[in-house]
Amino acid sequence: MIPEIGHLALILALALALVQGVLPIIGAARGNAALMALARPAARGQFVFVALAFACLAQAFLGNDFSVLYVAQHSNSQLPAHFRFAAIWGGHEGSLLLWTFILTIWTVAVTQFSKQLPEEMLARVVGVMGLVSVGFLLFMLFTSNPFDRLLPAALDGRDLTPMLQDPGLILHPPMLYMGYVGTSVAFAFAIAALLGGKLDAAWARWSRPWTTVAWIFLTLGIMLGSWWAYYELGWGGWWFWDPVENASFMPWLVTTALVHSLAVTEKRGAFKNWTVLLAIVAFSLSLLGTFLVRSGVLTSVHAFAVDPARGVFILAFLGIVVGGSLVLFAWRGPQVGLGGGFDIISRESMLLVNNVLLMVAAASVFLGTLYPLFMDALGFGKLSVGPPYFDAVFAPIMALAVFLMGAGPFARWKQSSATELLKKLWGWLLASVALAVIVIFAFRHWTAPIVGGVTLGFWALLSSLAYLVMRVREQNASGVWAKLRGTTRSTYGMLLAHFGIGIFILGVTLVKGYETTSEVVMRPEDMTTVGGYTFRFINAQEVTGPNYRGVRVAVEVTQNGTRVTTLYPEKRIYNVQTMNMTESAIDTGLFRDLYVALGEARSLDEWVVRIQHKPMVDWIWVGCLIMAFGGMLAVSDRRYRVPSRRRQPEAGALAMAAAKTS
Amino acid sequence: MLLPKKTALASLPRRRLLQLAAIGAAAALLPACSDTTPEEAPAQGDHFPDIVLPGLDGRVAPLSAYANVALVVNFWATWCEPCRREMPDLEKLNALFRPEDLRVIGITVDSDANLAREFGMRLKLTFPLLSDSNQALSNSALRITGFPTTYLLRRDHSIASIIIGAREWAEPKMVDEIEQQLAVQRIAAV
Repeated sequence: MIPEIGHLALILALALALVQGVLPIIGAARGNAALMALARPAARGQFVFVALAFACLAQAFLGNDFSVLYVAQHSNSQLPAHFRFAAIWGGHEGSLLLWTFILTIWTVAVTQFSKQLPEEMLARVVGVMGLVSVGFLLFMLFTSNPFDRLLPAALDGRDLTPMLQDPGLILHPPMLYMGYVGTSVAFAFAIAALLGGKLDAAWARWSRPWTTVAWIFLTLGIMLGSWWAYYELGWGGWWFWDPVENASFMPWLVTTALVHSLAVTEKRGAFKNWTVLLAIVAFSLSLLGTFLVRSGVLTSVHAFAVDPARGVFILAFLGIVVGGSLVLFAWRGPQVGLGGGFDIISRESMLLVNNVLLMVAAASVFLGTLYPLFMDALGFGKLSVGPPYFDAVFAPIMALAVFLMGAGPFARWKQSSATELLKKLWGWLLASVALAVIVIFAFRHWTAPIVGGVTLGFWALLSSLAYLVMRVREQNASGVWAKLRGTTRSTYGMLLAHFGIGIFILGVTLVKGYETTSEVVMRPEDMTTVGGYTFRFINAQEVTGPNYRGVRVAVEVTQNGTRVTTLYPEKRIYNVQTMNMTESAIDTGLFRDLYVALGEARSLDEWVVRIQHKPMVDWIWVGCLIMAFGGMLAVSDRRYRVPSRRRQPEAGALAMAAAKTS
Repeated sequence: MLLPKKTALASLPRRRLLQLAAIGAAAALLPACSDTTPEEAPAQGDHFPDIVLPGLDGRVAPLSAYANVALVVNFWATWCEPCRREMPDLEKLNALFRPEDLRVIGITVDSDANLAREFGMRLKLTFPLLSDSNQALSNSALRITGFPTTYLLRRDHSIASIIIGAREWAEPKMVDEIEQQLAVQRIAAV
């Protein structure tokens, strides 16, 4: 009975989504206040019903209702309860429900925090989000209903893929989806601006925090995914340029560009068209990512043939969203206007070049991800371009972008000069090179990419610090503390995010340049040395978990005779899917990880052991965390908390003030 | 803070946006192209380079050791799904011929050779696996853009054909084709 309630709730949510998507937009076009006023209640009602559907599916999973096909396919009575809950989004249908649920959460958030928005704007924004929701609900109800029954019911479920049975599954997909779906808010604001034909500094200020929040979630989601892959796959890699990863990385790149472009639109009124276009592209890539990953089309074009209804729906939906919004852009874009001019060397131009670089990077990832798909479709056979392509194309583009990132904040709006920039920055540039040389001497081995990477990393760190020093000096207040307090949170946010990039680059470069791996056959009492640490195989013991059997090996780690830790890597066989899983054991440190994973067993006592010493690897994720924290600081800036409608006439003045303070 | 002077350029924002965009794009693309050398990659009919690469078993195996043997040289990687899928077929193909007539050689471009060796062990591959981990051969000399890419070499190691993408190597039609192109004969039925 409960699954039927869930199904009915989805149908009712669809009805409300139609109301939310159509009537307020008509109301805004005709100036009909009654129709516009429908936006809020419809959005909240839709949220209630989608939440109800979500709760029903959760009940089916937690209550082991194997008469629901989706539950029978993705769960098992032996599965621990927290994984049974997370298994809701362990497959296609449930992921779509999670997507829609998160979309309604974002919509309700928009209705809640929109007191300063004019009614027409709100009606259009919420309306566009309603239309997106209509698409997803139709897709779910017609091709991917999570509540389909399985009759007669299965005795037990087929279990969740062992690879997904990890805390990573509980956190990573919801975070990533919060990011994906968050770009729909920026998209809705952009479409609303096109519909209304008005795009000013106030508009940018409204949509900017939403975009930044979406960016924060994308950053955290990708970070969690990378970390999860690192410890779960057992290879010690943290990024594989896998199509699924690329699908989340492309929206991140474009959203990063959008965050910066919005800054220009808010402060200088420039880049208006570009900002709108970026918002459309970011959301389109989020949609594309969701569908590509979920449809399985990336591993084979033939996935479409398995279920043509889904494929056709996806193509049609993408066509409507991308095509429709681009047509609207072509038609209304010219009315939005371009904004003020600026000099060839100015903060605007720096941001523009950075934006272009980020877009080129996104395009190259797009090409590398979809190229095999096109080749396969054209009958050239299956092939893959893989990491060599991405490393070769991506690294140089980003190196240039990061270099400009350090210099950009020092350039003045509208007009700046190269000599002035050079005068401010050459000392810091030299310092970056000097620090890089010191690091490389410490590691006693170098290649050109390492030198470049380390220099860039320090450049990102030092230029952020230098900018902070400059801003503090400029303050009128007396005392360092007062000066620090006088600097806005959005400035701190930006600096922290750039600082995080520096930490990230150092992590990536040093782990790529200086990691050591050894694969050895070990028996009890065997010893091997990797990266200055000695690893001793103590013993192997059989272990039994709630839904798996396995072997756990104890490896003692010592350095210069002192015991560091004992690691316990495991090899597991899960009962239902009889799949082999490697559980690596990691000793995490600020400057290095020790990573031990089991390969094949020669006998119970003799194992191929893969041991890795990974310097600075955790800086990769710490860097991402710092970036996300920078985003949070920026969002909490005082000017986004201007509470009420009465401030609107001052919007122009406020934008001027904001421009002056920076 | 704002300079009152308005330059001539500033009054043409659209054109300048385009110029800046073009500069940015060009700057981005330059480093990607700069490492190209005028030298052409060997094509059909050319002689395949006499490569010397380390084997995954640690031994260095020069291609010249296979004098007067036709070769099927397959470039692959563990991150390449279609490559992984065609490996069992290549193993079957290798078993269809006498060692002095035709050999399959796998060249992995994995940066981590251990992963490739583990994979080879798991599939019990018996043909030689070589490592081109810094892609000196596949990228610099041969300009391979996608994987798998397979070279069919005649007995004199001239290139009979270059096959891009995965194939079903053990299918009778494919084996016929290889026999015809490389002038060799199988010893077992497919």
